[in-house]
Amino acid sequence: MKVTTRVMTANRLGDGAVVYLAEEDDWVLVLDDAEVADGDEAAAALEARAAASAARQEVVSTYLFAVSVTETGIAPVSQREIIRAAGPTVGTDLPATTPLV
Amino acid sequence: MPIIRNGRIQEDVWVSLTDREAETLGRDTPVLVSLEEWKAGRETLIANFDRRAIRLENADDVEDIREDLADLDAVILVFPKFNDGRAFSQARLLRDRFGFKGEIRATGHVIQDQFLFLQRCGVDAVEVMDEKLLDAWQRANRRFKGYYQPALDVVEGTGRDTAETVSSGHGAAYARVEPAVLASWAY
Amino acid sequence: MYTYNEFDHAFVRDRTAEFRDQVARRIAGELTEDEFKPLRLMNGLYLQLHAYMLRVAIPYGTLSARQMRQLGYIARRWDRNWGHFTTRQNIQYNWTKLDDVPDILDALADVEMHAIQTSGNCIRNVTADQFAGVAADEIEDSRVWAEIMRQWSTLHPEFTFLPRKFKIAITGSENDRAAVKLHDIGLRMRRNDAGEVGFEVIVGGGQGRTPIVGETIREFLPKQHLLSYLEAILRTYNLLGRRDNLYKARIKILVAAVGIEKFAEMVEEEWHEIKDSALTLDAAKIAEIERHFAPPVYQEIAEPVAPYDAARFTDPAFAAWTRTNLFPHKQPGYTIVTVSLKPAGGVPGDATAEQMEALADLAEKYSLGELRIAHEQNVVLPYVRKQDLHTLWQALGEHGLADANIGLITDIISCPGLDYCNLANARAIPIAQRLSRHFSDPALQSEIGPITLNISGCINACGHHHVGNIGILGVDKKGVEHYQITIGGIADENAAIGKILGPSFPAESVVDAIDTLIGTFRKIRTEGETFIDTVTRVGITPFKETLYANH
Repeated sequence: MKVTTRVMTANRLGDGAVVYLAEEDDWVLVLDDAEVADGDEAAAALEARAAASAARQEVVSTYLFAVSVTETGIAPVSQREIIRAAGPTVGTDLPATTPLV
Repeated sequence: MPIIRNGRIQEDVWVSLTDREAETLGRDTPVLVSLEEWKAGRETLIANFDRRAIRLENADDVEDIREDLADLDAVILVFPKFNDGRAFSQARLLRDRFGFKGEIRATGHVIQDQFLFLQRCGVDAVEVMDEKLLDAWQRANRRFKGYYQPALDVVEGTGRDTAETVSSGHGAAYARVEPAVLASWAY
Repeated sequence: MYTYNEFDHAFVRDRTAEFRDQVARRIAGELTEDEFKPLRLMNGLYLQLHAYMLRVAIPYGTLSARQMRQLGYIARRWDRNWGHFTTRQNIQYNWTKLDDVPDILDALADVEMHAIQTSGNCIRNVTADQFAGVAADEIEDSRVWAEIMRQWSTLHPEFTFLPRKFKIAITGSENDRAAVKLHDIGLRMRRNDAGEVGFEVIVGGGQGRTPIVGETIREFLPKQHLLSYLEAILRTYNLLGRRDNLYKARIKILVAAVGIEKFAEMVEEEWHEIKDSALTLDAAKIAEIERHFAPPVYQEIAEPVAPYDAARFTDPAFAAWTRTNLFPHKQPGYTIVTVSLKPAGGVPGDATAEQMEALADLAEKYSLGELRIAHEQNVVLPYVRKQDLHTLWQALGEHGLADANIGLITDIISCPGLDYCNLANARAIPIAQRLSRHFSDPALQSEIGPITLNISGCINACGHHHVGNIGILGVDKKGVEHYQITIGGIADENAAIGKILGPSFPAESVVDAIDTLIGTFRKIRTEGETFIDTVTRVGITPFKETLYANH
């Protein structure tokens, strides 16, 4: 099944934090709070808003990525975006036994 | 677009021959040609015009004009994108190895953070979008008190040059810094 | 070690001020991200998967205790309490903020450090043998030359916008510990028939998507001509290297395209023009830099060192550590200690702020205040008296730094992989963790013997998988992390690129696969053979057969 639902993401210019575009051009830290675009037209609208925000020096590296929307929230489709949203799966500050998904 | 040279903003005087028929121009017109045009019409250009400049693309070999530099007043180097750094080596060879005394100008996508590098490679003029960059061009060589490698070092223009003296070139303003390897040892 | 003079201090401060200004212009919108990116990269600042990552240079891997302590302080103050030592003698901070970076650079400048040219299409941090100046097997201290190259390459006006990044490595020993054949330029110090010391110059090596072992373009280059020769290579590359395709822009592609003989000819022709220019290094200048690397005042210590031998006899765990983590020193009574950053289940190359501070303290106490970083992502204490080893080992143990696994299967090189890196296709760290846990039994590791196991999360090969005796490469197979296995890679003077064994494995099968390879090796090895010896003798077929028979 082709995924048509997408979310706009970027890094905040000043601190680099991963952020997602939400309503009223707000950039949020939590994926579940993001605005989901269904279809190309809605995605293009997100792209335009993100470009405008980047031009205002608020964020950098904007792009869309595929998500699935379930009852529990918004879930990225790709492994990369899962890790980007949740943080590293392993690390010196994390339990060494974090299982590999 | 404005040109920064000799410590001030100047108009671009060079008239591109590709834009006009050569016969309509007087011999006092400063003409600008490509490497191809220069190779094809070298003798005629020298006979018909007093001031001549050449525009080199960054794939052009500067060796091709080594013997002709005495007949050229300016060499214009092109940055298609600021991170394409071939012109730095072209400038260095022209100024340093071939001893070219005329104007070496950088055009195209050049950013102010490259001004110092350009100057140290022997570039003495730059085409800019904004006249405000004059300040950055003049400050570029003052950020550091010295350098770690020998290169060309700019002696800032006085700003007194008039349009009439422009064609004489200002290459002499560039002094070869020697010996300057590991300049830190000088301190 | 090298200490900054007034000029160096002023230069690094001025560079930091310049970057502070660039950051301000970026935030104000005077610089676009497109224009800012190469500027931040030239100061080691990346935008990674989660945040800005700052890569700090540790030139030729040498650090003072004070510098190590400051690296720990930076981790505490501006990051999340740890740092990651890389395969190119750098340290990376994974969670920095753009606004803080100028302050971090100032803190680095306070201790004579910087992040200049740790990224970007310029000449990168020059790397060297981590045992330089102390190894019993070396011809000369390569750090003298690495420092000269550091200075020469810093903000080089002509070579700051090259077609692609440019890496130089140098080794002062016949035994190459700096992987010089896998760099854009590799330098090996050697003695000619007249007994003079100079350099063998190797070009066009590299890993990444097109792994190539570099070839020699000059058998012997007299020392004083080093910089003019480098400039000749760089100028040839700058003018002729490809700029139309990111993947074909490294010097190795140019060398391969024109052929090594033709390339050498072009370089020699260019060199001829500048050979006797201002770039020539006279004896006084060389001596001035050499002075910084003069050997310390050693104590006269008679071998054997009785308390050391006694401790080895009574403490088997200590004895095991001394068998793997020590390297012969030039000076009798001293040894070189490699401190493993590869605990079982840990993240290869990671050190916490607390560990960095502890290492700084221990270096002050037991290693004349000096440390090194190895490209294998470990820390080295280069001046340890043998009578101090037992106490040092105990102290290291208190900080989780006493693993006895240098050169063994759990001494894994690993890049950060998809957990941190924007370019990665798959995770590398969890694979390293599983493997180091699986092979953690010291008796098993000892039985397997010397081996290198390297993991990269993508084809850019920061984890040096191409030259691991066993290499693991993360790939993305229809959205799922998979791992391709190679064997036969070698990083030293006999450099070789590993051969791919077959189709890739999903993450959960990697440990089994490596276990099968090791099982095969243990079955077919002859007495005393190392893994790479066996692969060299029998080829990859026996390994391939058992690996794919089981999977």
